[in-house]
Amino acid sequence: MTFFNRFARAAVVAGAVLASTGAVFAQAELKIMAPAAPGGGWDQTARSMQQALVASGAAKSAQVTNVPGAGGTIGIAQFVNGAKGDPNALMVGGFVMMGAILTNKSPVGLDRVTPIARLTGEYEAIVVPANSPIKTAKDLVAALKADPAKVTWAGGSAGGVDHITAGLIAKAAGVDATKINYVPFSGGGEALAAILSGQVTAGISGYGEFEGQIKSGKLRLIGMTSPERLPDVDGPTLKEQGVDVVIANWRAIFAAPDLSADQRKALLATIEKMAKSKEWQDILKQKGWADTYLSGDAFAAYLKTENDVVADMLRSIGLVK
Amino acid sequence: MLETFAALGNGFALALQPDKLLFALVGVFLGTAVGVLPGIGPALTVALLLPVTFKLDPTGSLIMFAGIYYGGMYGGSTTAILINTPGESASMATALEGNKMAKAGRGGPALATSAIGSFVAGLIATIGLAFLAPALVEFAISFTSADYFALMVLAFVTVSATFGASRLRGLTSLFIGLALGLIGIDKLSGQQRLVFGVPDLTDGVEVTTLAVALFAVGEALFVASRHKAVVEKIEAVKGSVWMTKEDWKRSWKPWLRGTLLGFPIGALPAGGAEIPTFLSYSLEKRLCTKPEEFGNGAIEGVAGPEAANNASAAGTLVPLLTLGLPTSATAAIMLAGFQQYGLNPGPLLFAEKPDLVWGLIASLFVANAMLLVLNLPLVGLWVRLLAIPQPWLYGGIMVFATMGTIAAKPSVIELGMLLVFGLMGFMMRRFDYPIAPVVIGLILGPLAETQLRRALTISLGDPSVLVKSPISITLYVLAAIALLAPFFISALKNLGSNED
Amino acid sequence: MSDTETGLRTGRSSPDLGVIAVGIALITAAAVIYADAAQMSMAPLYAKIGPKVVPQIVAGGLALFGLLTVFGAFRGWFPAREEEDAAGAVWVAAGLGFTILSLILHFGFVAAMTALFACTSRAMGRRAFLVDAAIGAAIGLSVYLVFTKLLSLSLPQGPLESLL
Repeated sequence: MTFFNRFARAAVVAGAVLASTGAVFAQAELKIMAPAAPGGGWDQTARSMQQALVASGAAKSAQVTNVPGAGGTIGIAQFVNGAKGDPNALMVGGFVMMGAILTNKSPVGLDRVTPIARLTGEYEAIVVPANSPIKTAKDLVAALKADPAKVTWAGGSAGGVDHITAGLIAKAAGVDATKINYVPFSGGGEALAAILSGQVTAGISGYGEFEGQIKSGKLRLIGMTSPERLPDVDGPTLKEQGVDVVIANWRAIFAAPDLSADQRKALLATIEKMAKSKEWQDILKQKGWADTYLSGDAFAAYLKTENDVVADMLRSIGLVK
Repeated sequence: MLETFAALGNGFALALQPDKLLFALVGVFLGTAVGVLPGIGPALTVALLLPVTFKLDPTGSLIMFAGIYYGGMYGGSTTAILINTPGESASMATALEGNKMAKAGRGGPALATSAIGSFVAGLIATIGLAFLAPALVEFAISFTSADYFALMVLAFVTVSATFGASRLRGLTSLFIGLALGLIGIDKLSGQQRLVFGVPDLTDGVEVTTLAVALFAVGEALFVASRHKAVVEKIEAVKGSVWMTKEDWKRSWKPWLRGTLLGFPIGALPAGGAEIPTFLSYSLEKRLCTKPEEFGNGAIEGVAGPEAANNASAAGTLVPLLTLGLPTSATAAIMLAGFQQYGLNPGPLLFAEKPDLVWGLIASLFVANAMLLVLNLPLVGLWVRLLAIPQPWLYGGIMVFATMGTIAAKPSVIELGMLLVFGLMGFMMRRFDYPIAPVVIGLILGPLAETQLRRALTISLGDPSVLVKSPISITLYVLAAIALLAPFFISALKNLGSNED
Repeated sequence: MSDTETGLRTGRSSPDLGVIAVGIALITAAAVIYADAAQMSMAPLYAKIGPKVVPQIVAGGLALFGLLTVFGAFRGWFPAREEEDAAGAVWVAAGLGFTILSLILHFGFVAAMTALFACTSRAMGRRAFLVDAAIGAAIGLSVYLVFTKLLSLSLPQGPLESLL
């Protein structure tokens, strides 16, 4: 059984690592579902929450489960069926899930879960290569107006937040959003290479993807989709340049359907305590996530307007009928 | 050049500190242990360990990640050779010849050539990383979608090396793979293809699920269906456990050629580890003096792809360290690792944090050497695994194949695919269809389609973009040579025999 | 594409029914892919090649190879197959089937691995079902502990797992 010896040995080593860093495994009380594979954004959010919830004393314990697939629509379907009325069940979700529900025609939507709070978000950055004739968002708009086909955009998957942002910019510029020449790339690295080498006109993604290249001067940041300038981003917003596009790739936490008012209140308090804790703030800083905390009814209202914007744009792009 | 040596020297001084060595050792162990699990690759391991390592110092934890990365590459090959279960898609080519060797009692030499080849490739590629990175990255960035498409065409042309006895059945297998590659959301338009309303299918068929199903499950079914008629006798060791002089002679050139393919292609932002392993496999088959041994356990077919696999792992670090471009899942997670310490890989990293970068590069050498030292003595133990009674061996293989899938994606549909593709692998064995082209089709098909359509989108539908750059023209010429050379060679041979 | 190879079925006396079935399966798959491509509505905007083109090529290829396969069945292009013992394969498939079932019915990871190991072992001709089940349970349990406690991955839970 040498085969399993190897496991055992790895286990001992891994155990040593875990023990030395003081990680503890406690019995679960809160259950957080990450509707994605381990490693991705939602999973990181769930595992960071797990850390902060326990460290801040907001919860005795928290356990993360992963249900990956189909932009989170598999996760939400399972969550709605399995956690109905469970006051300890939470699910991470976000902008991408909202889009996936629409494009996948998922039978289970975000209206079926109990919104708790928006936690973090990343604003989109629009960049061009350093040697591009386009210097500002106004130049970009002018190029779009001249011929939308000639302005190629590199960004993430079709119908995702990058694609929608590109569509919104065209719309704000008075250009037909269906005519944008958007080129989806699967990985950040591939898109970055295409932008750096000038294969495409502009790149669009979360600021973090471009940060290093912007700071080293290889890419020029021509606009952020934040409502006002961000403290640690050196560049203008689209809005101040007259392109009225404000959008963020937000991540939020939801609770199970059919909760009583008291149960909902208790969860709101728990998450509030976590979101305000030093531990959570430290994690946000370390991961470079913006604090976009918005809870309760205000968040529910935000979800509705956001859903209309996304649905409208996906219809223009042609992904939703 | 001298500066580079001095910096590397400093790096070694850092990496050889006892605590850093310990981090490398832990990383190498974890990487190997997890790499053997199909479906759980180095990316997942690094991701899971990220929060744990946050409290460690940056250099230490990055060194550990480097160990995991290289270790994962080793682990995947071990299972590919021993139990025909590629731990990741890049070790599929290794399974083709490696498992045949293992069944013929030559598992020892197969594991050894894989370990030493990985070491040689890792060594050369890491040297390349240290000295050539800035130049290579310029080349890598200049690769356009059209050039990638040309590279895919070259890869497709060489698939025929895996076809086996019949061209009709080989092509059929390839097209089955291409058909499976269609399933899911079309990358460029966002539309669903062959999903039939099943949300799980929108993500497409996972390469490791298909490979494990076809190779491991299919084989278990096949062996079970014949155990009465044919008692398959696996001799763990026949001849030497170690590589013979002949084995060395046949291995060293494939190691070098594999490295030359793996490192630059790995450095391409969309290059990956699979394409160089396929290219290496078919190149070795072409160049081998005993091509008839291919398909029955030719050591070149293990040595080449294994070297290519590991060299591409080092290649991936070129764009990551020099530009901050994450070009593989693992690299993306490592980037997240850099960022959690407030470090931004890129041109500035070499200038701002030379200790860290050179420490990391030096620890890649250390991890590589450590893996060799750890793995070679284990070869003797590993091959004895094959002496486990057949019912338990296959029971273990099935458990092993399934648990990787369950851990990576605990869904009924995913396990259902494991069963359905397993049955398909069983039927394909019965009707003598080759297995490998299916997996190659699944990997290459979507890549080729995406790059082609992406190139045409950017060019607004002008097809001349496909043959515009010197890179793509060169690749097409190579593809033409690969396609036509066999005909010329046989024509020349005929000419020669006529003169006799 | 006329293949000459060793191990041919001699003569064209009896067509190979199994091979004909394979050919028909390929043609059916081609038809499904073609039909699926036909119902896609979105036209490509700037690239001339849209999401339909590659499926159509693949469907064409599969249909052609399917036809050639049926043809080959009559011409004896395919090597003869060995006798098989379906029971063995059925045991392996049953083990995997039980694993899927245990995911639906929440039997838990350990139970699934126990059955999978024991069934596969039985498929290869061993008769000590209980011993094998015990080995399978031990493997399943240790894997479960390593995965969930050390790697913090979630594995399917059943009655047994919730006790741990």
